[in-house]
Amino acid sequence: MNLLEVESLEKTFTLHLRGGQRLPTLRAPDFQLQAGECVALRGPSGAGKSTLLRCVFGSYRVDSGSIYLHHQQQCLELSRADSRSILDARRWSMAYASQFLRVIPRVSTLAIVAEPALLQGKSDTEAAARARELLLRLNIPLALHHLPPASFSGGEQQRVNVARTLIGTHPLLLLDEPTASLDPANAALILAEIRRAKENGRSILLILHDPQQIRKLADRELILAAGDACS
Amino acid sequence: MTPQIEPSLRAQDLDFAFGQRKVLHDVHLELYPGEVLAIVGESGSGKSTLLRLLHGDLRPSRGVVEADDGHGRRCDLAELRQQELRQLQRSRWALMTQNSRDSLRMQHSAGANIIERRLAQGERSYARLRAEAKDWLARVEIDPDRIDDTPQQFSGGMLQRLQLARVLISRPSILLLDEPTSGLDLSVQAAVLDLIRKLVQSSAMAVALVTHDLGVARLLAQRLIILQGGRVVEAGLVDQVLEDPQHPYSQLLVASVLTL
Repeated sequence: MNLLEVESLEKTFTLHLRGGQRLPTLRAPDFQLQAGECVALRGPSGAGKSTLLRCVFGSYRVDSGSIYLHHQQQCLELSRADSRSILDARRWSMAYASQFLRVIPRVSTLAIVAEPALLQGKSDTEAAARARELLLRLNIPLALHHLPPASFSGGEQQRVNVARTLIGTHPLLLLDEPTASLDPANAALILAEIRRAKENGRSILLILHDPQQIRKLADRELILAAGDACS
Repeated sequence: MTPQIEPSLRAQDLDFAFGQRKVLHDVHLELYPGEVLAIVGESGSGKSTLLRLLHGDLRPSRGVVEADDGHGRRCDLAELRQQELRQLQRSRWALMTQNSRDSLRMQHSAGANIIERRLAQGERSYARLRAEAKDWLARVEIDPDRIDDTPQQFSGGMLQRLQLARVLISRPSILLLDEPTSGLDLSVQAAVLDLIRKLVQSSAMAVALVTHDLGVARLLAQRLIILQGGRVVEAGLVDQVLEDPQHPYSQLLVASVLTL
């Protein structure tokens, strides 16, 4: 049984402030993702890699095609699901890390990372313990945990963002360039966490640019061609 | 497929007019426990009027507002007796208005303002009420030593936070907020947002939040509706509407946001 199935997916933006100009952004090849599988999205800038992740997560509305997600023992068609079904899928079945951390200022890093676990019904203590452990594994020292991430470096914020995405039990992880602004040592820590998630049977759809990282981590690649999207 | 949870509040087919001037057309919305719905739109688009309809202060000219009465029963606001409505407004539901001076008792102490709803809920111990009031002042970042001062000595931002403490203390199941952070400096705004977020999570409040600030909506709400000229022109998940707005007016709003 596939965790995720994407069929004939297309996304075009209509810019009403530009006289209704239409901007075709994505025409994705059909693909499936099974439990424990890691697929890397590749393609030149503008091919629609981030757009594809956002369509799956429900942030973008798709024009045509289908996105089937295995959610709570059923098949949820995300492109036609109502808001509350998508929220429920985000709570239990899929987590997404964008390239930027967006959080309420002044909230501690520990609370930010623990939140998805709390939403899945974990106790305060359990969620905090898990958050602490994950942050330490990602090289965010204990002394920083009670501080809000606003003052952190870009690389630290990115690791906080990834920790927040990994802390729950979501079977599907969508990661937009999780290693983009990291030095090799910290990138290796992130890749190790992603591999650990994969070994635990979670499925990962991610954007990576480094061919070496892809070779080490991904089971296969999905190529998005700029020509496809713009033709 | 949708999780089988009943909304705490549901408004259907709402029309409202002040005399000849139609303010709201055909508005539909639902509030769910543990969720924040942001309501955004231009000045005069009917946002505050909509909140007053949801609170039962105004009657729609067409349509129905149904809300949870705190005992798991749903009631049609138009069918409640005035006394029942007042009782629910004092205990289970709460409206924080834009103009704090209209909602607060300016001659009474800050403490007396805060505990009013706890008195209505039957709490009588002076020591407990005073301790609760001090606790809530601290939570909204007002020095608890100001408990005996009257709100007349408070700044606009403090009045707003006092109003928030006054409604939150009763742990309402439905909370309606009209620009709750508009007059606050940014550090206090962040504290207030975090306070609301925690309460929504821990007590399963259902919140409607009217705001001009799309950043505030983004951080606090799960769903969002955009009003223009009294009509809902777009509704959806907050990230959906802000990242992929469909309606021309929504696109204009999102394109007009200042970023640092």
